[in-house]
Amino acid sequence: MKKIPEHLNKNKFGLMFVFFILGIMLATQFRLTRQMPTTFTSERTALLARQVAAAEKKHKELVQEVEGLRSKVSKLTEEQDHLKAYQDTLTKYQILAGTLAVEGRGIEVILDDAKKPLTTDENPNLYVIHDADVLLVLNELRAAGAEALGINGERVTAMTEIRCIGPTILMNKTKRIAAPFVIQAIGNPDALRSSLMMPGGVYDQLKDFITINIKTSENIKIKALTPPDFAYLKEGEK
Amino acid sequence: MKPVKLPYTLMVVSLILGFLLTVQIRVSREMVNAPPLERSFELTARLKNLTAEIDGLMQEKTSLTQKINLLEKGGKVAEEALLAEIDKNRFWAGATEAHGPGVKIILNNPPGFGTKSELFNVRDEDLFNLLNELKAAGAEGIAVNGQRVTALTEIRMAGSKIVINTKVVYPPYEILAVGNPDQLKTSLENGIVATFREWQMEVTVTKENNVILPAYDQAIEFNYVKPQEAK
Repeated sequence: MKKIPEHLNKNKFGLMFVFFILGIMLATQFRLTRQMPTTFTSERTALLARQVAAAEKKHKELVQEVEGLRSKVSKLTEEQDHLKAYQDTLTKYQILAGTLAVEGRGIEVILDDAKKPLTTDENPNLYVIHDADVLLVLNELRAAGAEALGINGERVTAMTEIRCIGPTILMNKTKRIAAPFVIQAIGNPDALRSSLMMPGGVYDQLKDFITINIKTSENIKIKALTPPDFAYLKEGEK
Repeated sequence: MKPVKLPYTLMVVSLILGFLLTVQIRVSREMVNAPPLERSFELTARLKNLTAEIDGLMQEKTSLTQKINLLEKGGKVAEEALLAEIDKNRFWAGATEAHGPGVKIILNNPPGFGTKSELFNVRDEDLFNLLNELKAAGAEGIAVNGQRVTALTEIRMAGSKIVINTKVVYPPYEILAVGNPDQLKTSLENGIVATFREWQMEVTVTKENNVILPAYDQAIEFNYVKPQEAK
């Protein structure tokens, strides 16, 4: 057997001490590492952390979803604007069709039978209002850019006829109107008036036979006409 | 002093000891790093906040979805109603093509030339008086030389020419009217057409099974007229 060297022999106690510490440390180490993952606190924390992570993910998704919905709502609300455009179009056609009560600036032309006393050789028929007089005024007002027409508040539409029967006008088949007849035109008052007053124009043609007065009005009101119930006219070309 | 000579075994043992020490230190430091109790309190609070926010978001999502449904449905209903009303009013206004039974009237100036006959050429008032007769006889739609007659259609002399819907039209004038053909024809023949014939104008009235009226082709733009304010 080989003899233990002298110097080792001398350090026997030192060596024993070192091994002792080494042993303790190893034991502690093993215990520590085995204990760590099973710590109660850390397991709970891990669970909570997982829950928080899941909640954060859901939260993020919901935020995105809600943002998408919000922008959709504002988009749809903007689309109300195109409904507004439709409403404007409808109003335009309703005004032209006469199915909407309207108002606005314009002029009123007041027609009445001549007030002058007639001599025996004058034909009294010449001095009362005729259909053609009213039609003449209406036509001139249309040419001058009138936007809506009426007589004594009754609407003149595309198919409105004017029938003078004695001292009254029959229009829109059923509406009977008594003199004086106020022909109402909504439109540029100056353009309407000057068109009627043209030399040799409507005013000049009528003034010798009937009473005609023109006045500007700031707020003319004309009723709507009940929508027509056509029996023969159909939409389209066939 | 003589240097101490250490054996290799001691060196190996020291090495292992050093290694173990390092591991030990690292392990115990990790343990310090492991979440302390406060960490789980914090996480719980965070979770609570998140849950509350998620609940709020869910509620907002529901109300937004409902709002979208309403808007989509409401918008669609409103749009359909508006479009239907637009269609009807366009038709009533004369802004669409239309057709139906009625009459066709051809009206021409008296034959021959010269100042005397020109006096009896067809004038604007002859046409609008004729239209008035048609309207009184129940016409539902009228066109003159391809120009639809609307509430704003003027028939007016510009010099020696007649202008309808701002367009010049030339004789012979062709007037199409939709309505009861018999009623329209009879009321014209017994009235204004007889007068036209006395003035030597050439005029024919024929009953038609189907006349086609064009749509009003003028831009519709209003600057003065507006709907009455509802009271």
